[in-house]
Amino acid sequence: MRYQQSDPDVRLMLRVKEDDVEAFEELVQRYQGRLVRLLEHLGPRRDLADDMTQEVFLRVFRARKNYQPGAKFSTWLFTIAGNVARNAVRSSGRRQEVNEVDAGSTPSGSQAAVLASLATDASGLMPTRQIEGAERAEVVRAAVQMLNPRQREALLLSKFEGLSYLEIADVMGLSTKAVKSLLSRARVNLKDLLVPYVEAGVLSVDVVAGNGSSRPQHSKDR
Amino acid sequence: MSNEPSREDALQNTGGADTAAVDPIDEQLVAYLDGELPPEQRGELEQRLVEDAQLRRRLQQLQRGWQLLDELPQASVSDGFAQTTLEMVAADMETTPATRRSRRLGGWRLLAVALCTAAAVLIGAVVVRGSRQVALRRQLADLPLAEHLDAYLVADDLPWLTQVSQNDRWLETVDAAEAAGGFGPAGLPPANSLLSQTPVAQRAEVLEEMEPAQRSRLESAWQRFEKLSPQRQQEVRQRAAAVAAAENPERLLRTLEAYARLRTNWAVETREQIEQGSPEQRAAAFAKALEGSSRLWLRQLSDEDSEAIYRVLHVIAGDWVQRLGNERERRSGWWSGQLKSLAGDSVSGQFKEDPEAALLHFVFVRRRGWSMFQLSEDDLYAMKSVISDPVLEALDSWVPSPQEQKEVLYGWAIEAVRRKTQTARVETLQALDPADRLEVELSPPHELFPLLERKTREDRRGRLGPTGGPRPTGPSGPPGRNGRF
Repeated sequence: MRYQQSDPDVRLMLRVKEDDVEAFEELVQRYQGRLVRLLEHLGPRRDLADDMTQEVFLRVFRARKNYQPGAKFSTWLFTIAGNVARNAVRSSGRRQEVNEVDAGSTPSGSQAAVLASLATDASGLMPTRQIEGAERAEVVRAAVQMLNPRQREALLLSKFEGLSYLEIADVMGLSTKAVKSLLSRARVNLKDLLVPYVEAGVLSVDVVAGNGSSRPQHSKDR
Repeated sequence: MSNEPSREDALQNTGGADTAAVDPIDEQLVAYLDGELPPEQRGELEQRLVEDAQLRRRLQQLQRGWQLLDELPQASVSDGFAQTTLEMVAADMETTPATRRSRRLGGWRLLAVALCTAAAVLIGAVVVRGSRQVALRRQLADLPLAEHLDAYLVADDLPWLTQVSQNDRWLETVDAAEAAGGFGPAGLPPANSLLSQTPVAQRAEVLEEMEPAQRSRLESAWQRFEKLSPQRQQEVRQRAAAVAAAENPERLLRTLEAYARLRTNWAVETREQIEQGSPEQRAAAFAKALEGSSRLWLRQLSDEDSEAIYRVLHVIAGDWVQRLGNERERRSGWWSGQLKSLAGDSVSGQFKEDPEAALLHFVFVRRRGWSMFQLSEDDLYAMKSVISDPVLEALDSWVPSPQEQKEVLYGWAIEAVRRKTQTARVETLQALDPADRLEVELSPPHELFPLLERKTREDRRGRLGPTGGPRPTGPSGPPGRNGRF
């Protein structure tokens, strides 16, 4: 297999399959940060990312004997991560139903609130200011959270992991054509959510020069 | 547009349905940006882009949203993460069903043995050894202690903490702190866990079904419990029994849990007063902590945050010192009096080489609110930028009003400066006349510091002769320098 020779992680995983402790530890070291980062956005709550990442590794380990080096290792790993995230979202959704009566606010409600508070800034009720650092990250995070889960997954695999459409299709069990339209929807939505802030001067983008004179014209696709 | 395989994730439909149509031109632009457009289409699109400004703008906007994703921070993974993961996996192997366990484990078995915590061994023992039944039963009976170990360990004075648990203000503070994430993402552990409510005989099963991460937390707490001396273990058991027998065990346990966490944020001084002081000292220190605000834990700056804020203030004070120099050139009279008092009062020992510290001490401790030096919006923002993330998040979610935030930040500034510039109290005390020192030492705690300051001033005035006189134990300074504080 091509991957077996070219992907060092596949070689590591084959050693794990033979119960090699060090190989497993190395895989954990190599992927822990990337998985936590991904799962911070895909899971129901950011603070569950560590637990979910460990769950992913646990599943990898449990499945080691059945591992077939037919695909790039990371593709397999991200597939598992996607499943773990969906499970977590589902079970937290169940808990949410129970808690909603007294909790009052939902996660997506608070995401909307972050963006709405900035919209207030941008509309001139408060002095328009350029936001920075953690606050910028929070706004971008809020926007990402507002995407549909599949758009979010495809988008982050593309952005963080630099996966090709073909690889994303592998991870998500979709056709490349489906990935193509999923990603374009994700990016159009992201643009609709964030560009108003860029154009109001609240967020800045260093690289692209644009005069930013009007609101985006594309309407949201829902 | 596409017929994607049906998957179980239509649960959380926020950003528009997958199947909603997207403008084909957007799809092309995105594929172009992603380098996924076939060469012939790419050439065609590039030609259109050259001709069509509208289209270029559309492309730019798509690209901007994409670039903003760079703002998302790298995940931070704790140092022990890989280790905990391995331990969890090892523990999992020990607890998985016989079919899986019967496989030849080779090196993994060794790892499991090496890494396995006491609880995992204990679980393994359930399956294997009948002869250990008694010890095992005992351990399973003790296991819920590990769930609240920190709480029981701080409960040195249960009657007092029971009183605290009935204080409405305290309860509000705990609720608010928990809501703002002050006790970590998971909040305070619930008083009635599944484990504690399961009969001892069935606890092994509960353990097997526990979430791996939760189990690994329990295991490490259990390990800590095992390391305690037998007497201390017995003490923990007794405390747990006392808590369970209390009028409102849930509330008490919640208080203990919150207290165990909050105290780590308190200044050493406060902690000592509360935990080692006389009942009066304790009541005063605790009441003082609660009095200022219901946002108790927000006010209680951690040492790290205090240090960081102080560093920012020190930089700000650098500008102030310069301004002060300029003012001195412009004015005389009243100003030189101020400056003299500043120098005479505050600048000694530690401050001699550090005019910024002296000025900060003067502005935030001695003459609070002196209008010449106010923190600007930018200064407050700079302070905000250095405090740790959880505190910042709590501040923003909890104190959304900018005006109130300003007050909290100003309070932090005072606290940070106070901690940093009033470390010399012992030295100050040493420098007093023996009679005065005795008076200060014998005074009740809440009067101690004001009295110390007063005595220092009097002492200084009394000695304000041309020679100053020798000091019994004071730091060696040039003769005639009388500033002690």
